[in-house]
Amino acid sequence: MAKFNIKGMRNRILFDINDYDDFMEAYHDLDEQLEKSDGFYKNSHMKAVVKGKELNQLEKYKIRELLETKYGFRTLFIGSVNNKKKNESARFIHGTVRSGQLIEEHGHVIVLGDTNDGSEIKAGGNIIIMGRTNGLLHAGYPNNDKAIVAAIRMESLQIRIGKIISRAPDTKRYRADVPEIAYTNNGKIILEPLNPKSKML
Amino acid sequence: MGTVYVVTSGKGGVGKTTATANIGTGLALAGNKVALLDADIGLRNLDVVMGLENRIVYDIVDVVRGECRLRQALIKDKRFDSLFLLPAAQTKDKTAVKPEQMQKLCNELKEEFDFIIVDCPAGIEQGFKNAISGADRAIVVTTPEMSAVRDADRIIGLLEANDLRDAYLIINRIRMDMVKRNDMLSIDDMLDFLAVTLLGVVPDDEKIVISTNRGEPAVTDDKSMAGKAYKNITRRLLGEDVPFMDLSVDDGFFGKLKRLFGMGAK
Repeated sequence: MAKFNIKGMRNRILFDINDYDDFMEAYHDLDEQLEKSDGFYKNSHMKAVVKGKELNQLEKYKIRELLETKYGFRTLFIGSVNNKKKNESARFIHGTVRSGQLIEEHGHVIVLGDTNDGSEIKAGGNIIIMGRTNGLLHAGYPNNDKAIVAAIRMESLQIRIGKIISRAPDTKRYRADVPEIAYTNNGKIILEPLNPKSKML
Repeated sequence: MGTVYVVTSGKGGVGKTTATANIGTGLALAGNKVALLDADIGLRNLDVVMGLENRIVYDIVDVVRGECRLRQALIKDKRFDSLFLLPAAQTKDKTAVKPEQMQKLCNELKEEFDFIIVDCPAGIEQGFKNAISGADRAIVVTTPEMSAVRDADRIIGLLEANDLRDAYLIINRIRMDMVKRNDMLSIDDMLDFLAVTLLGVVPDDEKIVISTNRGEPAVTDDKSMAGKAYKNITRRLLGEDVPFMDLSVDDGFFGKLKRLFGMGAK
């Protein structure tokens, strides 16, 4: 008998596979259940959120491939179960985050390197980049607008905090000169040089 | 035991096939036993660039399906005895070969050849996955354009995820006059973004068009700047420390005179 839950939410479906200890069992049960849906979801581009115990990159990739390629979902978020207390853990990434790479974390993300155009970082907490950013940065995902983004050279074309999206000006190649920090104030994203006198700190 | 190099880029039309043909020919010129493998099934080009299109009897799909032996499918080059080509199929597509089959093929070639150069198709799907499955090292080709560089970055990320680290980079079709005017990405800009080892810089050269149409790789033409660049790339692959060519524009007698008097471009 299947141990997972499917829950319909506002504009998405939640697949809760948290009760499984074995990933492959969860994967097969999910596949079996969706098979029965008889192509109902195909080409629907329904958004899917998957919650389960600590999934590694390969497992996340497999689920994403199953849902997106086989069943036509648009997976939104795959992550471990949200505990009631705020998740203060941080993930360190060493080296450049390349185009096409997607980093999703419930806590904070710290990159010791650059992020290239075409990469995406989605963090439930803050995002700190010790380098040049060109990729998409989304802190406080999905709806914490108290999160911040800071980088040595903030040159991303789009920064998102919580539900707020902000884009870089249309001038040819935006180059930052000093480390900057982005935070929200009154529903807008503010970009400021990062210095001790900053109100944000 | 030979080494398998895959020449890839992500973006189409940046010079993978040209690079494969010239590097392969250059290595053969230097006395090595080289096999070129066209992995672009359905859209084959390597045979045309090598001038061997009229000699194709069997292709890679025939070999993989066991319809002929590898030896029968390998075509010896017109000019060099130690250079061979395994052509792609034109009437099939990329689903005709699986990564495991490609790996087996590359392993077989490694026993007989010093260098195996695989011409990878554009994209990141089945064709790409097939082409990289037997490779030991990767050579990424890009042109100095933001779109090509971004695709190259994606490819490098995918190569790293498939354990093909320390990729080499070839920057193709550079025009130093445009770089000086800030109208084209500079070599440093690209290296900064991609963070890989530079294998060579090839200038934009009309002679490449001519050489492709004639089926004579530019590396055999002493008067071609691009050919010279590919020769240097070959030498670097063989372990030699070759300085990068000075591709600065030759501004002629009056240009030099101007500079003598402190006027004009440096």
